[in-house]
Amino acid sequence: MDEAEDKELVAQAKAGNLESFGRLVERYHGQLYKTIRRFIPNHEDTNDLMQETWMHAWRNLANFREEANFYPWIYRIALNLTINFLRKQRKEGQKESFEDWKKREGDNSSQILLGRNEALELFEFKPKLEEALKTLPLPYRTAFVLVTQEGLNYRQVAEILGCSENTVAWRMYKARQWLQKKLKPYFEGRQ
Amino acid sequence: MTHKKYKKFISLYFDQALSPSDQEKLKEHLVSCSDCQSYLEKMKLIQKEVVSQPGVELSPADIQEARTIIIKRLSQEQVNRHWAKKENFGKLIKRRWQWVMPIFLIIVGSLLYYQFLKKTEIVEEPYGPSLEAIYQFLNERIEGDDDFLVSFNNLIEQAIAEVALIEVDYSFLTDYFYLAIEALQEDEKEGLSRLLFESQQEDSLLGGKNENLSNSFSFFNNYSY
Repeated sequence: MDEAEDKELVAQAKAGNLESFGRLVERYHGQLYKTIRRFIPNHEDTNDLMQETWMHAWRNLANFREEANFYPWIYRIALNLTINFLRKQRKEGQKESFEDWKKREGDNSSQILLGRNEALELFEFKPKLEEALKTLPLPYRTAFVLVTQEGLNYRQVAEILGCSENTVAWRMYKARQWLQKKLKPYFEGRQ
Repeated sequence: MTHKKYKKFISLYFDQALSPSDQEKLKEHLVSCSDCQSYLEKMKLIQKEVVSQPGVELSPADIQEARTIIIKRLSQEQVNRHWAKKENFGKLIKRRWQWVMPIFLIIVGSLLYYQFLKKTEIVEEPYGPSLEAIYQFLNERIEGDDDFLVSFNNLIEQAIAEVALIEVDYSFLTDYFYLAIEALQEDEKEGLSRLLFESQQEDSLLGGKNENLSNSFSFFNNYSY
């Protein structure tokens, strides 16, 4: 993407030019959608979050520093809104009784703790990995998706998440540990 | 060096963040360590699968449609804001003398409060560790240090036991909370989960709506099993 052109479009948008802002939407909407969709399993919620992202960006354009690049800024907005959305969703999903919750957890764990032969028959790696990815705690998941799937380096991720590169490295390590733990039955079945 | 250190190296290696000298150390270690070899193989499989997930892309037509909707919403918002501004300005002019009385009352009320009521206020000593101190502690220790989990674990146990008694906001700790939970034994997890649940039930029976308690319980459930 042409950064100089971005700057010009941002300056015009700051002056209230909606057409220029529309050009920015055209440029980055697709990329942002692809990133956010990695966290959100359906189109509707992703679409809502994307709209919210652009509305938020428009309202806060005045706070955007001229010398900064537009894409990391809008990327951060989209990601923060997504993280908030996931947190809220997780909180709402927990309204059930302790016993029900225990029972459900028990059912899940019995699925996970199948014997080796059963595991060989029943487990397919891909869906299990997708499930395991969904269970990753948010800070791990965010770093993991950004590094492995979005191809960003530690420095870029640290900048987006507002933490140090060491923290990103640590979260990547812990994410891999977590996935390995969750996929243990599959790995044991393969041996 | 421990195996854990090499597992960290493997993670860095996949992310192309391992220095050449550490890459050499890792290679040397892998020759003689079947445990780390097996770990590397598992990680390769995970990495390959994760990287190959293509992601969902929008068509150019979808992007155009999204652009149209967003611009339409923004135009509407601009129009609304314009009229709201005009309306507000009109009201402001009409009502300028109506401000005087409330402002006067606020000033007099504040003066009275500081003169008479503030003097009788009982200043309570802060209870337990300061949340800012915990937060700072976590931020400093989070980077790569496993040992802190033990002390954090103790802290969290104490915090959970006390959460029913005092109102504190643990919500900002949530990103770090699971690290402590990872260090707990299964029976400890069960005990703490039950304690939180019962405290929440008790709170709701008493007609309270302790959001912090409910957040802690939800959070604990999310990460503990």
